[in-house]
Amino acid sequence: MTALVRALKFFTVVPPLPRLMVYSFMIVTVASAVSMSLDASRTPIASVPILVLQVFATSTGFTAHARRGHYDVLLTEGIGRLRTALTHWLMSSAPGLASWVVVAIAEWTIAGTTNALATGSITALVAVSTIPWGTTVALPRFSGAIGWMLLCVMAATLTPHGITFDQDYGAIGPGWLSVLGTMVFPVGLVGADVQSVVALALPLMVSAVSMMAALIWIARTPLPLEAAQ
Amino acid sequence: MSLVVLSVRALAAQYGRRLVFEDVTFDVGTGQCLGVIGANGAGKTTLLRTLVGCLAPVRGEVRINGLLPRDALSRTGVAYFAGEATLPGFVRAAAWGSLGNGDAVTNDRRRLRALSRGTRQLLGLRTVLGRQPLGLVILDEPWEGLDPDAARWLTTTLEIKRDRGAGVVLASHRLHDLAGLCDLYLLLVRNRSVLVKAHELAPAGALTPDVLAEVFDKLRSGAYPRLSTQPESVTGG
Repeated sequence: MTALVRALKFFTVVPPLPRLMVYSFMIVTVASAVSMSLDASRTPIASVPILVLQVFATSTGFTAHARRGHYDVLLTEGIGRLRTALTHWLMSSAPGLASWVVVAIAEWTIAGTTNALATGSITALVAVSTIPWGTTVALPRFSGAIGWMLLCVMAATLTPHGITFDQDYGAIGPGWLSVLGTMVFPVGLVGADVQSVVALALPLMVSAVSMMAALIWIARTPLPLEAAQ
Repeated sequence: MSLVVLSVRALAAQYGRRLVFEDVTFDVGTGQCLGVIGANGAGKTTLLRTLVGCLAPVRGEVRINGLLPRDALSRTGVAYFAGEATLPGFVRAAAWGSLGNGDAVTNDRRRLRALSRGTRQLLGLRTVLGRQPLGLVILDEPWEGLDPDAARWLTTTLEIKRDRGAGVVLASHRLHDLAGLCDLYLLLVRNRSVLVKAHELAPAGALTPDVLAEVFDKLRSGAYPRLSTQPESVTGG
């Protein structure tokens, strides 16, 4: 417990997110709430900018900072790499998660709906909070987000009908292209009360695998100083 | 006789296929100070990062109070600082200073990048050396960038930590600072290491930087003096 408090204190002093990103979340959250108050029918789509911002926020690049020695104080205190990495992820995704909670409360207050807490919305939030962090762990900041944006653009422009999740999949369940769409463009899940386990399994599985792979990487990779190799 | 705080056996490190050093063996006991000397690129920083577990050796092992670094760091207070370049520039000085033992090291609200190099170095040192209790101090080029007053403070602080029983490992090019402080010297030359005891080099009195420089030059030129490469006799911890 003390180690967790210590790690939280450290990442409060050395935040993984630039302050500008935190301000951006505040602005986007207020804008989403205002949008919902002006037109209650926009509740699912109004929270999408938070997800897009979250993709960039969680693309923090743990190893790049560790190799500059920024986390030496914590790593040599016996906190452990995994605990350090998990706290880093928590602090990277916390502003986005907090924004989402605020928007969910605003939605329930304004429109009386809970689209932000629908299964599709939560799955999308989990995906954008974990996959970019996991994929950027050994890369420079924003690499995961840029890669994901590129994937979205490629899916939208290089395929005949785009690759996105079809919410009206009917009784036979979503097709494989639609399931792939949950992964490529999870924002398409926002507001959908998805009953199909298959549709939710892919993004959740990729989230779990990317986090596991990132943590294993952090536990095993050497952390030389950049200037000492 | 002192207890072994840090024990290193047949340590080897490499980046990719490039061997940095091999067969490094030494012990540092409580109240002992080891100076690591080597040319640029000899592997001083790599050695120190291996000691604190940031790098895994390709061969050999490091033990801190008998434990591997990952297990020992939570039990033994270790002060490690690799220089002001490792401080994140966007953090405020006062906030960074509070990461030591919680006491304010400075009230300066400026960001670290706005401070002079020496001020950053001093802040980084004061932060890690403020930890209590300290069993092991490992510093990489600690005098770099410090003004004379700060350098004297550092030397005095290290003497106090050493005399209170901490093991101290210092990598530095500043032989005149090391000469007054260290009991042992590890010289890294051409991927190899030689352990030198201060009293062997200067049996009659204090070791001078000139003697140390002479030994180092002889090692670099290939004229290896007959010096012990075995760790000084200390009891197991």
